[in-house]
Amino acid sequence: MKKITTGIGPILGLVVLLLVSLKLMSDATENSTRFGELYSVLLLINALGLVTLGGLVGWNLFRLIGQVRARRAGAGLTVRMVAMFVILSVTPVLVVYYFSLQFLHSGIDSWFDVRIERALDDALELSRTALESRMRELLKQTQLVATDLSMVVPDKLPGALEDARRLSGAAELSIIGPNGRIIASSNIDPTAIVPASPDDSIIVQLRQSGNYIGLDPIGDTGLHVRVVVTLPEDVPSQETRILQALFPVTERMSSLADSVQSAYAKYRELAYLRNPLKVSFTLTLSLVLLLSLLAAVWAAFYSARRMVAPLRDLVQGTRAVAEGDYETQLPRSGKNEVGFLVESFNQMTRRLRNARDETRRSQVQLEEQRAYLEAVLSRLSTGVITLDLDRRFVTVNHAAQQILGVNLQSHLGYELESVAESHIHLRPFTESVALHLQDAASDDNLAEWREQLILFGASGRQVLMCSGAPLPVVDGRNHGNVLVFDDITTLMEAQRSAAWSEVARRLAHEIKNPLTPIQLSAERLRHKYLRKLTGKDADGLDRLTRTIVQQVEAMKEMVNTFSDYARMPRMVPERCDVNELISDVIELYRGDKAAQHVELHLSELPQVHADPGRLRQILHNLIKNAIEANEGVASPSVAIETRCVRETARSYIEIRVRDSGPGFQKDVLQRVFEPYVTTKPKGNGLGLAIVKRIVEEHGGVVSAENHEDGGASVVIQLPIATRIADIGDTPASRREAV
Amino acid sequence: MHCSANADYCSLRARLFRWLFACSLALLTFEYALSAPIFGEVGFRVRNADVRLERDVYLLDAKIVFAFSNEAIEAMENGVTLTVLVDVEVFRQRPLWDKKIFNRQLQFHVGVHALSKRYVIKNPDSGETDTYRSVEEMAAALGLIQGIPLFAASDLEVAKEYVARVRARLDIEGLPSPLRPLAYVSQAWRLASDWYELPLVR
Repeated sequence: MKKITTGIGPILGLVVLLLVSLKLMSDATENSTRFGELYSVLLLINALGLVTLGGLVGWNLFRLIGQVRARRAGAGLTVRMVAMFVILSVTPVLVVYYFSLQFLHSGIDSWFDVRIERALDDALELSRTALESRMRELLKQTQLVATDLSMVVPDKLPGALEDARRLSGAAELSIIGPNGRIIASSNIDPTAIVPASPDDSIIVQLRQSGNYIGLDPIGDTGLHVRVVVTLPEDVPSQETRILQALFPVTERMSSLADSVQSAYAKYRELAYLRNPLKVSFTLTLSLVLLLSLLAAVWAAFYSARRMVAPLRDLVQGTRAVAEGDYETQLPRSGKNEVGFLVESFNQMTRRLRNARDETRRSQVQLEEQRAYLEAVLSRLSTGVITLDLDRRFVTVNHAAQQILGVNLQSHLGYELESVAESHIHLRPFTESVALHLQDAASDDNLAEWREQLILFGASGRQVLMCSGAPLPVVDGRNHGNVLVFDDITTLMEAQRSAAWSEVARRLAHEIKNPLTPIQLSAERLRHKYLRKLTGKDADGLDRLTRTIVQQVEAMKEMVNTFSDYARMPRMVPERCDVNELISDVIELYRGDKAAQHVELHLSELPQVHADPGRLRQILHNLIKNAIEANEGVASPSVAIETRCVRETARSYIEIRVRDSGPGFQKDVLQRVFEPYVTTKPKGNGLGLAIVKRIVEEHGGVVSAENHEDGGASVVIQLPIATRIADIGDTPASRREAV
Repeated sequence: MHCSANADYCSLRARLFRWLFACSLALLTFEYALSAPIFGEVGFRVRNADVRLERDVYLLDAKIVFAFSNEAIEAMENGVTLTVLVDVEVFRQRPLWDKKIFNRQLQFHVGVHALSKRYVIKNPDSGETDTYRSVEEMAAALGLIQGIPLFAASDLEVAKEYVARVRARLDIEGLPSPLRPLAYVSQAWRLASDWYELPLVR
């Protein structure tokens, strides 16, 4: 169907057929004997052909309108081309049509001339006049014959009739009775049996005027003068008989009369057919015009389609390529410019396809490598985070989320700082990283950095060893940074514990062991020589040896204390109420005068998972330190506050022990929790170190601060175990697991 | 093409079909108006017809009214010869459909002889020519058909039922070519009687 409506072959065939048909029709209009009979058929064929052609054009137009409305590629161009073709072809055809029509009508009109028409009328009238004078003679002659015959008896009538016919030169004489009955007849042609009877109108005229004379073309015998008269009857009652005589017109006159008659008839017919002839020619010409127009319009559609098709293919192909379909190959369209364009397009899509395939292969390889890397990273116990240049998360591994205790997958694409907004305990981490990245951006030497960070999160205190480095530069572009960090809390504690154990062991070995012989020697000296000496010597020896023994004892005590610090017993954590522990410890100081100024501000606290014995030791140390710090102060006071802090990602309890003493010295404040750092003359410098160690063993943090209005505070923050399962996940338990 | 494609396209198509439907309706109405009897008594009519058996030959007698339109008379008076056809058909009746067993067409040329001012009927088969003073006389003579032999009695089977039918019409194809297109679309030229049916039993 599409081939029929769009192919050129069937349409050309149709146009040729219509042209031939129109030619035949034109011939037929001119009364060509060959095609005159086919005129109507040809007209029908032409009409049907034109309707078919019109239908095809209409269908093409309909499709074009649909394409324009659907904004199909090339529709606009087709409309313009069709319009241009139609205007170019229709205008001259219309002009030719108009002038042809004018010429045709004036040509047909020129066939007819008033003078010729009048001449023909005159010729016909002349013929009639010439015949009429002859007819009048024949009437008189017939009337004479009728008079003669009226006197003939019926028996002799046929013979008399034959004689009369012969004498008068008539071709036929008939006597007809009433009711048209033939009484007698005589014919020049002996084979003619039935005479040419007068019709009713002749009889009527006969009755009215007594005779009838007229010119009759009788059969093939040519023009005859018919004369009918009534036979005069002697007896009035006798039936009326009529005599009909047919006289042949002379051959010469008949020939001339026929010539005039046929010329006149032909001319009259032609004149009568003048308007129908104009209509027919106009119809034929209009059909030709319509054929030309429709053929031109169809040709316009065909040409536009042929020209636009490759361009439309190109547009569609380009759209397909734009949508990612690189398989598009357009059909070749000759060796013209458009064909070259199509070939170039095909070449482009082939190259694009190859490039895409290559990219896909590379992508697959990249994905494989990425998957491999992800698998490796996910198995790493080290946290790895990559950030882009805007410090947005690009990748995070499982260990990073586990260490930081945050679901970082939900932060992919967000800035580093966004994590700290929802997880405050990560602020030191994000701030430190941001600072390093800022430094790295300004100074290449600082691009790679390493820092140990301490976080206090939901699971307590964490020590992270964090390092950062820029990602490899690819194609001259910096792709961001990679952060690698490890939770070294356990490692640090294990190392420190091992170090302190070693120190304790060495102290015991190197110091404590020689102390006993020193003490024994000093006591032996005293015992042996005190009795022998007297006076000042004895006093001196006594004082000196006592001093030695006392100092040795003091050193022993110090070494034992240190050993206790280094070899703290295994923690036994359990659920305990910190407020209750504080009250218990304060109760022990109830009788102490110095402890009279202790104030408690205890808020309601949840239970924590801790070793109550160790916590008591912390509280003892801190209260004792606070009371000692208040010595010499006019209005001493010790305040112990507890409160529970609940933040988005962490919850902890805070114990604050505040004194009204002089506060920590500034140079000591930063190192106050280190062993052997003390401002007290009698202190061994291990109290706060032990506090710090116990707090850290519980996953907490401890800090010291001076107040502007005097006094200092030691603040302990301990994580709250919200679930039973979490209790076992404290740093201490993790340490045990390690 | 999908309507999915396109709602505008579907709407356009629907409108086109509605338009075509309206045009078809208008054409039908126009055709009905044309075929309506607006010309009064003009037209051909078979008043009666009879087929009689005489000497083993079936003969046709018929009386047909030929009322020529003014256009047809004008054409005759201007030298155009008209062809009048009388169709005779005989069918043998059968249960499902009838079988045509005989078909004959009588042809008459009618015109005007300018010199004698008489209307002429010519039978082209026999060559016989009759002339009349007026068109009415000519039409009356033309409408009187007597004893036209059709077929032998032996052509009909005994005890079978037959139906003969007669009609008269003006042969448009017999007109000069320029007149035909007009004649095909003008009621004045479409002169034809209905079929006159009569039973025929041997």
